[in-house]
Amino acid sequence: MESNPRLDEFETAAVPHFNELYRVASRVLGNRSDAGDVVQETFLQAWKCFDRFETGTNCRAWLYKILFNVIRQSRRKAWRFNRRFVYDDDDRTIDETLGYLPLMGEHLDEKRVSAAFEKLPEAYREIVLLVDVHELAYREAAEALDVPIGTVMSRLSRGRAMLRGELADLAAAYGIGETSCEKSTRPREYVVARVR
Amino acid sequence: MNPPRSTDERCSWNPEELDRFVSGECDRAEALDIERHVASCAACSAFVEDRQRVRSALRSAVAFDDCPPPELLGRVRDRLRESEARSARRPTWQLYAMAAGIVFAATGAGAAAWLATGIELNAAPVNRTAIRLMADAEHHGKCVGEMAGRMPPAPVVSVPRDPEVLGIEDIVREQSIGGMTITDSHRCTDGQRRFVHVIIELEGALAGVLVSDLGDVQAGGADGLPVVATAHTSTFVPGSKAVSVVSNCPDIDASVLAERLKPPMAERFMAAVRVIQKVALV
Repeated sequence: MESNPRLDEFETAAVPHFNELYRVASRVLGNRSDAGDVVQETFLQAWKCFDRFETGTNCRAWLYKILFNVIRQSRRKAWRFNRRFVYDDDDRTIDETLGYLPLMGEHLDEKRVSAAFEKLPEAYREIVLLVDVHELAYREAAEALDVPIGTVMSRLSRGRAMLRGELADLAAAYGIGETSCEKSTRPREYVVARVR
Repeated sequence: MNPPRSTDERCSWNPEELDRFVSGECDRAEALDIERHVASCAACSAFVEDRQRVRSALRSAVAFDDCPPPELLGRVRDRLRESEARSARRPTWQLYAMAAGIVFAATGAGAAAWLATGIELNAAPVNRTAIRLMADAEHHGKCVGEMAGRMPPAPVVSVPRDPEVLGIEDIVREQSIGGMTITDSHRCTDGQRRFVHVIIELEGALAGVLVSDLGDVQAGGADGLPVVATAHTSTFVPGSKAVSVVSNCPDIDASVLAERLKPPMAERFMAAVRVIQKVALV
């Protein structure tokens, strides 16, 4: 087949992000097979609207946006709404005060962290994954998830607090020397103490 | 600088602000301000250190533990090439837009074609001269008419919204094809071929229906699809995958509509066409 310069350009710009998108999809969907399908569809959609992509702009953020569009579509099609995870308080400002928090200690082995991460509700898992693991800027994450930047801030803050709470719970379950103070950092209390 | 506080004290600093700091989202002045505060506040210092520690642990735990199957990228590349080859065989959107413009300009011919189908219009208010047709006048015209509530129901059966093609609406909406509203989409058949019909409005006025040919009924089956017409007109080119544009738009003059189909509206319009084609062809 003849070489297509535009397809070559697409390869150069998009394919370097292939593995990363797959990892994100795999983590978000919790299923490697679905992740493969979603990433494939993401690249097909990206190619079909590549004419609208401006060379030199942020291809990674653009691909993330398409990826999460595809993920949302696939969820809608499959009617796989996870009703356990209702987050209707996304835009609420976390107006709590910080109390002293003992450090997590030296017990953050990867399995525990990964297990705690998997327990996060979907919306928080996505934002923590994008910002903390794959280091998207808040603005990029907001675009990818199609939410306001304020939602990114509040979800991320809650997601981190919940992750921290899950880690404390797991540590306690494994009997790994967490203090009583750490055990109190349950998700709903989020590390911080409410003042009202 | 404030002295370090007791671990019993609470701090009024907002966790979201500290999280922005941990994420590196603060500008230089904010970052300096927070650094100064953290240095003197036990609670915030512990908070930041804890966040950084968990963040670092998370990154090493989940970042690179999952690689795609080796064959996946090859499969995607194959699909890209197939897609490219397929689109190379299609007319470009400009050609579609031009064809659509010609269709809408051919008001008189369209109305004549409509009348030639022998469909009796009932007493519902219908502006016959505003009916513009390209191909498949009877079949697609009926769909438009029914959707618009301007055509007699018989012999057209009720066409329910088909959840399987509602994804088209999602895609069109999510791709921000502005100025265009999808008021209905469904699959149907005339007994010989299967179609996707998408009824569109431009800026609040019914503008037409996008029709994508899904192929021969014998090849693809049409069980469960509502039959909306019994005859298939010869004007539609079987297997062409062409998209016909039928307009039933009494309030919009053909030339105005054609004008609207020039860029950028034409581009948006054809973006929808491409989306529908893609969905229909997958």
